[in-house]
Amino acid sequence: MNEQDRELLSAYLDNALSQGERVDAEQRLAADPELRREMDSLQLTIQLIQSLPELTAPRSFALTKDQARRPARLLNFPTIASAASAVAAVALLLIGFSLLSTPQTAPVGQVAVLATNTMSEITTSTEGYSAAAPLPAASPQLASPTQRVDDPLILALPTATAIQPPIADMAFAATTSETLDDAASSSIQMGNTAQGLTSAADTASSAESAAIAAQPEMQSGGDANGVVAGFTDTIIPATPPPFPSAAPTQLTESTNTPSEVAAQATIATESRIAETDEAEMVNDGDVTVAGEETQTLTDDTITPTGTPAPADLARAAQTDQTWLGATLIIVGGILLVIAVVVWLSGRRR
Amino acid sequence: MPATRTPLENEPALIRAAQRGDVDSFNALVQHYQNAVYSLAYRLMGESHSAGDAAQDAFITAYRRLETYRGGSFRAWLLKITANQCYDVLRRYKRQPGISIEELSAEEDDTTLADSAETPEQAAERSELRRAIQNCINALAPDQRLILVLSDVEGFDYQAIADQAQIALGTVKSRLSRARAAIRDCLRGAEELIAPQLRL
Repeated sequence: MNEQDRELLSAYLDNALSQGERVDAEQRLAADPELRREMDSLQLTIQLIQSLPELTAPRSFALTKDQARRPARLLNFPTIASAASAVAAVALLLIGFSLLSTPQTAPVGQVAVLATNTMSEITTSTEGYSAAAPLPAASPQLASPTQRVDDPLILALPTATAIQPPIADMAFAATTSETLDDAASSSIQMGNTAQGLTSAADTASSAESAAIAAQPEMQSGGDANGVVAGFTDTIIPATPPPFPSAAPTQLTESTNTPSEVAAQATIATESRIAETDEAEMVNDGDVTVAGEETQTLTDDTITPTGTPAPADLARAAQTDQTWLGATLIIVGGILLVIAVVVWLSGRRR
Repeated sequence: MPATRTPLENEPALIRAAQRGDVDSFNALVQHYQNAVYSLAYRLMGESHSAGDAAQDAFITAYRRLETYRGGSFRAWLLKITANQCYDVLRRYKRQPGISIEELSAEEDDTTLADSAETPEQAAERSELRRAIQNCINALAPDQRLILVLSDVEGFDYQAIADQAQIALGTVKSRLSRARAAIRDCLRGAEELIAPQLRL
């Protein structure tokens, strides 16, 4: 008796054979007495096993309240994913709407700085201005991305950038006949213009935008404020507390009228992109930028006299801002829909 | 046929209430099916203490997984959970060399008279035969024991066993055939307990 015959007999007893197999098995059983005896013993075995009674439970297995308490479900993946998506979507929508609803040009005296993840150093100077009050070195207040700067020479550092130009050493050398590069270079060479605009922004266009943002400020004249915009990708006009309407006291030392100041104001803007994080400014009035790769911004649209085409530039910036805002809103909306779908699918399970 | 093979009259309502968290409704189901669950656990585990633990765990698991019950025979659903519970324990036993489930001796003690015509001696012999059968079942490998009990004790068909044990239909057939042959050979050593007409 082999294993296959036993399997055949076992299945035969359970009525688990096909019609053809059953007929074959019956023919073999009729012809083979040993096979028939094997089947009989198997049948008796099954009967004995089946004779086992259902036992009586020795005790009640009714659940107590403690046993019935279902373990607290941890947050499952759909819940976490949908919540994270919803938060991200709302954030994108808020940023998008704020971009669309906020004008690109900041009011006079206001500084908007949006710095993300790069090191920026931007300073500007105005001819005829002689600053007296030294800036706190690497002032933590100035490290804030968006802040109000009361000093007419505005330095805004988005990060704890090392920038400590003693304002006492600052003078103004940039002239209207100089290009931006020349102005900056001469400032550095003469050592009397404590003006450094260094930016670790990723692109020169960022510095261009900085100049654009600064332009209306310079043209407004009366305050003769330098405008600082340190940023990487986008300028978002912030709404800090209003700048003092009157020029700071230091400006009264200037013999120029506000309009003259405005007319003569030279923006010496230089943006350098430092690949390393070691950009630093030397306190003696010179500007040095550490790092091999530096890039000087030369913007044809900004004239040394401070009379570029600001309207066009502002419109272009506004357009960029609008596109960015619209994109963020669309992405945020899609994300919100995904969050809702994921949440609903998680609830159906 | 044991009473627990027939569902409760209000079973669907009890199940729905239990699914909503009503423990009392679930306990009504427990009361109805606990003999079947314990019995299966005993046949698989081979002794009462482990069987009681397995049965209790099976009911707790069933309550926590009530939402996975999609209709059909509630008894079969419960027994499937019970079998899985026991099978997991048996496999753990098998991995632990210090514990041999085969050494466990059946302790079935059902010497109550089956009918008024049965003498106390006959009742004792019947109880002894059942203990011998259970000991033979205990001697099987867990794989074969599961298939044999589900088929010949609980009456599941091949396909249901294949689904339950997550094995192929052919594997069910071969394991069942070997298990039955092993039980027969085992019981041949206890023929004096078997009535002459049932001798193997």
